[in-house]
Amino acid sequence: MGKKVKNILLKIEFEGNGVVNMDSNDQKYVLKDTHLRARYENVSFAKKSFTINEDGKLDYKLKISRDCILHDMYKYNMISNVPNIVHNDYLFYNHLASTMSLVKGYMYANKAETLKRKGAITLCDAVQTCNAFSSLEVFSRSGEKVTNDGTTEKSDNSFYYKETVGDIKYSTKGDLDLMNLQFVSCDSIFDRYSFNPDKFEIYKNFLKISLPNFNGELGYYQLKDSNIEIPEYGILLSDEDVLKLVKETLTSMLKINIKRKGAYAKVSSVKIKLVSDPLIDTFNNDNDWISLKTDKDVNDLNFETEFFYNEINIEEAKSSRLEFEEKIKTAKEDAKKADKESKDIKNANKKSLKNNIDE
Amino acid sequence: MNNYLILNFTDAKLFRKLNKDNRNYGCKDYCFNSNGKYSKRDEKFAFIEAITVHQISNMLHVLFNERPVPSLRDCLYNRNEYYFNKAQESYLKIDTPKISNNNYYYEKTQLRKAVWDSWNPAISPNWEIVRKYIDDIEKFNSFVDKVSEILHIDALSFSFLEIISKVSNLSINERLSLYDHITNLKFISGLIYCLGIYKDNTFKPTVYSAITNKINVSAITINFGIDTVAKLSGKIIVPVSDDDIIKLKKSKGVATILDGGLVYIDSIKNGDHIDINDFVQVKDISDEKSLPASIKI
Repeated sequence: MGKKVKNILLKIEFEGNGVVNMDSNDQKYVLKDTHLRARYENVSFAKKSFTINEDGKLDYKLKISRDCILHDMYKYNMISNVPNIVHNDYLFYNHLASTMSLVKGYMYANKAETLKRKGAITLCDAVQTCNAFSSLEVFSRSGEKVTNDGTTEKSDNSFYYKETVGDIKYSTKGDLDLMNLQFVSCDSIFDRYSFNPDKFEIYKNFLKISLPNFNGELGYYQLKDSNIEIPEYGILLSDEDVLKLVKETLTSMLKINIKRKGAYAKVSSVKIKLVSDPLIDTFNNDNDWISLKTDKDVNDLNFETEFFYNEINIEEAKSSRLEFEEKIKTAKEDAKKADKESKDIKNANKKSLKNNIDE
Repeated sequence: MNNYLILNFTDAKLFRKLNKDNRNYGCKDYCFNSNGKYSKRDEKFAFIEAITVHQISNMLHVLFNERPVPSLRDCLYNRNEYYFNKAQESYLKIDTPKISNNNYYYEKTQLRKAVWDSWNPAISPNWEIVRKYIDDIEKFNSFVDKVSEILHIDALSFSFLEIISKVSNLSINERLSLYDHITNLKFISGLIYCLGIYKDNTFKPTVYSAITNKINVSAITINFGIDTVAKLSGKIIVPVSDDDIIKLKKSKGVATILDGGLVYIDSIKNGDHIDINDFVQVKDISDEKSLPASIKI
């Protein structure tokens, strides 16, 4: 095994036919001087990346947004991503400990506690790389026949415009942040409260399902090289856990196939670069890209992760956090007081308004 | 120090929208503080310029393995002035064109909505929701015992929807005795609406929302919404010292700017080989703030 890996850069290429990601018809104001000029409201435009060309004119390329790509990447896991799960700790923590949640991140806000985790995967929009030329086509939509007065027949059929294109290729880049991936924080000081530490036992059981080798424990960790010397409370995943998450993510990535009526876009190639020196292993450097085509290529992947956190002794950590925890306590009390005062003011205003009306 | 770090950024999402008076409007995003409080982003200030020294400073913090300090939310630790000054000395160029009214093109995007003031109206009740709605273990047990007694079954071994259906098949007297029991337990009358209230000599249809929409107890939020967003791409040139380069080698080499905008290293160049035409020095970019939507002049 060679150098330790700090980050993974991604280059993904797509090929397909037709438009898979639509935008609003607000584009008609932008495209009024182009061949996509539309005078009507019933127009569906493809998502576009706008640029200014060499002649100083507005130019565009079709694109697929990152949200569309991520949605398709996790389409089989989305079934668990329904709001009802927050009502049951076991369902909820099962969801929070899933590989999708650990990689993609999440946010669940409620009055008692707000759980959030920053996603470890950053993708850019996939922008068209070929010269495919899109145009507006007229389509018809058939509706049911309606009979008025039993004499005349009116049809609900309607015509609408939709932007279409033939064979098309896209490419995108992104990164899989191993620093984010390796640490699951539950610390409100750093505003990274991903799970309730009191429910760690439930969380741990589900983590063991997602990550069979998981053996982590709650502890205090200091970010290496940081000037802020406050240890953060959370779990540090092991090398095997990180590798497992990376492999699952890359496997899902290879299976991306965005389908829409009359259109599709599927992944044609995934290339990754294991970054050990961020100044050498860049997107511009064409060396050392690993091409992944099958699940076997992903399974054969092996690397050692660079860890960005050091574990700190509990006693030491608690003493250095004391001041900040006091600050949090005071901030929460102040917020409660301010809340109460504003409620009192609102009630007083309501009362005086009511009295005025009564008078 | 005559070396410069060339950074590219792509698809930095800008959610805030300003009207011609530089007042926030129409943003569905929220700001969450570490104390659990949150407010609409429109009610807080935003920067009039899309990218200011504050965003670049935070990006540099992350790039150099430091912790970023949010501009719109409270934070318990302070920013590192070294990186803030470095951000001021940097140069910025946004390649994304402004389309109309000196503004970027805002495209539609789907959002995950997690804020608890947009209730999901279509939730099917289950025992867990009933337990949360009643919010008292004694009352809950008493309710379950009564239902089990009337239906001659172990109520918890059936789904709550099945229980609703079974209760609807009971005789009027049995059903009303259950309602009496619920009324005596106090403050859980929503269950009667959920099972079908007796009014004008008939049992009305069930109203699930009577128990599923109890605010801050059993109500849950819709989890998808639509908003508009502008996506910006461009370049940032940052002056770096030899020590910075050593620290940079220990970092992961990527960061994000605004919302999910990927910032990655292009190269390190000597000052003689960089072209700063079309770039703006970051310290010259105004960090003037917009007017919050709720304050009227």
